[in-house]
Amino acid sequence: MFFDTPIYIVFLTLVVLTYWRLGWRPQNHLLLLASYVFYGWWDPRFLGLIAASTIVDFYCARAIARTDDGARRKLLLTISLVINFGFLGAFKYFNFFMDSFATALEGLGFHHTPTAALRILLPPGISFYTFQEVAYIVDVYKRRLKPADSLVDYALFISLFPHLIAGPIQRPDHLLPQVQAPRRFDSERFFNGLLLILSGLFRKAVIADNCALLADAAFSGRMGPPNLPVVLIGTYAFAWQIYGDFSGYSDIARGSAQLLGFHFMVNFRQPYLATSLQDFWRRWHISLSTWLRDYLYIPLGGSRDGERRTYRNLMLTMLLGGLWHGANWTYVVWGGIHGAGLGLERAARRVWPSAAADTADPAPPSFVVTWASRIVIFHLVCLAWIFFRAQSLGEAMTFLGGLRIWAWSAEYGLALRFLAVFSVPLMLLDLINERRGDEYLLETSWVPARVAIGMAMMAFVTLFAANQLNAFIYFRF
Amino acid sequence: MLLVGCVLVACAAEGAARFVVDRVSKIQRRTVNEYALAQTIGTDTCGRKHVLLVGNSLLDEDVRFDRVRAALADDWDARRFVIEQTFYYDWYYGLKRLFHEGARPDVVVVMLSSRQWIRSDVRGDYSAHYLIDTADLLDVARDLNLNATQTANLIVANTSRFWGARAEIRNFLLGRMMPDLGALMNFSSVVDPQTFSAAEVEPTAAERIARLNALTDSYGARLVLVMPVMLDTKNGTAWLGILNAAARKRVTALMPAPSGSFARDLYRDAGFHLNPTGAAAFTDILIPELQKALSSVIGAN
Repeated sequence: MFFDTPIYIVFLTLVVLTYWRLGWRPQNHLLLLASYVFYGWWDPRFLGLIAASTIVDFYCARAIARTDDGARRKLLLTISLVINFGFLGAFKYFNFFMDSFATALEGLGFHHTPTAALRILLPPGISFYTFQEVAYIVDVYKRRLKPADSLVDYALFISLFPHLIAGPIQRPDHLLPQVQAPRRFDSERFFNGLLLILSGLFRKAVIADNCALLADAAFSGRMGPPNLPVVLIGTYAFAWQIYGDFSGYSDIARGSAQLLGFHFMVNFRQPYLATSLQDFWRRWHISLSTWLRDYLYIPLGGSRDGERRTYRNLMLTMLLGGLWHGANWTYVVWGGIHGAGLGLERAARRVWPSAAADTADPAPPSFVVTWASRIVIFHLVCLAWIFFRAQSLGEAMTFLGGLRIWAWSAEYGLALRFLAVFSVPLMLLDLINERRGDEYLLETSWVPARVAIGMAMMAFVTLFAANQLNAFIYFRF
Repeated sequence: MLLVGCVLVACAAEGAARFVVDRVSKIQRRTVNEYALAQTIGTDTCGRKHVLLVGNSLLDEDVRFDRVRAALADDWDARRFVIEQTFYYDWYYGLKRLFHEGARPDVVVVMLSSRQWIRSDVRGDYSAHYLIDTADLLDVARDLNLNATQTANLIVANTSRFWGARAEIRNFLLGRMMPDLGALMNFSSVVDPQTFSAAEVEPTAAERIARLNALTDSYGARLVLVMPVMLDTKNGTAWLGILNAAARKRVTALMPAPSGSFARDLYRDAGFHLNPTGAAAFTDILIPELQKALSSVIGAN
């Protein structure tokens, strides 16, 4: 069930209407049932997988909390991690490793390796709920969190439908207490939830899906062989597509949760206004970047063990972060570009420490420096997006090779205008949000103005949603 | 207040789709008119036989229908129903609905390319509203192997005029904002690089032709297929698969001009549709063949 389809609107309406008529416990039962219906809508066979990993983690966490025997605690943690990452590895990376293995064998002269016979379907959202389960079990192990008393509560924490398929990855200490306590209806929160859903639909159906038309045309070769205009149009279009797509998904997820009285963490804060790569990762897919920081980068040693290890940890974190997105070398390269960029930034800060940053009240950088940094970082991010979007490393390199070729046709100008029509509104929204620092759109503005904005978004979604049904990009991760 | 506002916007969109779109959009106006004519074909007593030609933009652009109608006028009441970007299943279910609504042509002529015959697809929301009967939605979902979300979308589009026509509304508005937008169409049309041989096409085509023939037959109409003249000869021998399948099922299939037989300058830029000169040439070849085929199928009746 995609968020931008009529069936989801019907589903959400029915759930919300029933939900607020029930007491707290029945509410949790209803939400668990609804979440499993939502998940099973794709393929009911995958329900067994999420149910199995939920049960294993629930009992492992309780057993870990009950004992003070360090070896036993470690054993239980290991069992849980092996099962969680085992499922993830088997379902997400099996095909990738089989293909890589087959390619290696073919390189050695062995042909006709029977990899096609062993294809495994990828269960939706497995990367997201696995990370949430791992965060829970690690937090319980580190005694940062008390394990859930009720299997229903824990299962709901894992499977609550707004975040189930593509996040935001919820931290146990943020969401679990909300599941374990009664929620009360708050009209302000409900209103903000609706506005978030409309904002998300606008970002997805109007911005992302229209930009996708150009990105798909450029990357598939329908614009002709890659040349400078084609590469720029395709890359910019994909940059706005993926941002609109994923931030739109996150907005709809957060909005849907708010209609049910839950609060989800913010997942995007104007990422294309970042002035450094480090800043970018504080703004882009925040729930993943903070997860990687807390459960991978810091356990690896973070920046505690000297500069060399810090660079290694940064690179490892970003490479694994890339591989988390998908079983393809293109994602590894994408992560590698970000890892290298973050490392270079760190090195540059050591060589040229900002004098202003050392003072108690550093002066903000000038307008020109800020925008110059934003433009450079945006283009670096765009470079990495080429690898993220391409089907293979070869395709990415061929596409990039187009940067050396100049050609022009009137259609390119038209494509750029089309792109501007659908990307400038999102850029303006970001500039407004950046200046105001609100969590919700125009949060502190006059309510009728916010209603008008909401209706305008609804009208845009109604009139300009792109023609075809495009699955959210992050659904496949 | 926001909820009420959203409901109002949704109602306004549905109202506008029902009362405005058919009037302001030229293509939509043509579709609605042709649909109305197709619905009533064969219900009058004009003393002539009735032939209904259906198809997509290939029929619209490659055939000068005014000439066909004039050439057949003595013996035939010829009507046309074109919906762009449609395939076999659009027309199987579209014809089923037309028959159900009372259309009674003596002959149905279907013009699709070989690729469009074997592609398992429909024109999404638009077909769900304008071509497919509510009762057939689940059959369509089964035929196309749709998932639950796609099926639910079809059901909504079948019910809501706005949902069915929203792509046209968007294109219409964008066209007003950027009048030269049509030039981007070359970028957005997906060209399937796969080529098919006659042997690959024939089994699917035979099954589909037989199914369509059974449908038309059950309403007393005869089926005739017309193959367009394609520029691209790389498309293997797929056309032969369609002709063989039609012959096996004893359905008349016309191929007025073999693929690759028209020069490049008779086509539009993208090389898919014929330009006006090409269309005139193709129509000149088609008319006598069609006259002969119509006499033959009715004679055989």
